[in-house]
Amino acid sequence: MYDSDDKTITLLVKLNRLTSLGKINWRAEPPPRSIIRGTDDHIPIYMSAIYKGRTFGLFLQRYQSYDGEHDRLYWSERIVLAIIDQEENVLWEIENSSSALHDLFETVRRKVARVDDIIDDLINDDHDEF
Amino acid sequence: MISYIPQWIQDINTVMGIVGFFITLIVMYQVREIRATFRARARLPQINKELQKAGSALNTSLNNWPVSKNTGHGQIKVASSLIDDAITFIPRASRKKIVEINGKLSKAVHEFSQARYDTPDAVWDLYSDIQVAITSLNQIEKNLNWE
Repeated sequence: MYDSDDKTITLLVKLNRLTSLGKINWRAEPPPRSIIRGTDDHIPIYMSAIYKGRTFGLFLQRYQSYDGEHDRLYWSERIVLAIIDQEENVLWEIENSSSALHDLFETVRRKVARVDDIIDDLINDDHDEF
Repeated sequence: MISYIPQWIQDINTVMGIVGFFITLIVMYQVREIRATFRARARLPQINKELQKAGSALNTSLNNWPVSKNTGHGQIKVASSLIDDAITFIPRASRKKIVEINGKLSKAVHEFSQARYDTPDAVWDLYSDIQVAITSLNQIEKNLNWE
């Protein structure tokens, strides 16, 4: 395996771990213009967090690809982790399909949507009714 | 008994027989390797997919630790047995890292009742190892497509 893969996984797992422990707080917000300008891409969810003075953006990107065999366009989606500068430019991005990136996305989405709070709340409601 | 074949032809025949024996051994070894490569090409993507599922399930458990400790333990067991299976398919040269990771997972499976696994820190390290194994298996899969 390549060293760059090792480093990327270490970063993704670290962000996941710190998010899970509540040491990094993500929030949902509109995507920076630099990501959507000049493309037909659709970003259904964009979340950002600041860690060690760097702004990270984590988002789902739906994009069109061309199928030459059938002469048609089709939609695909991918998860992207990006480092954004103060002018909202994308300095660097990870867009591989690694499961570590998918797991980070799930953890962050769960935290942003406060899924655990909602489930606890619903369970407590059920107990109150009984 | 009178022999009509000269001695030098018999000598060549003997030498060719010995050479043929070694060629047969080489061909048998190569057939075995090709068979192993085909099996690896068929099985590794399936194993890797299952390993990704186990990793994601462990990630979910880690977000609810120690309540989901037992589920997490189960997923580490699954990951360990999948990697154990994968080791039999992958080329020798690529085994070292995967074997090392499997050693850590197997050790954790047996020591999971220890207090150090009551907090998620040690389990995050195992999760990280599983992700490294997944990436290694991905690279091996890609290399196999060119063999």
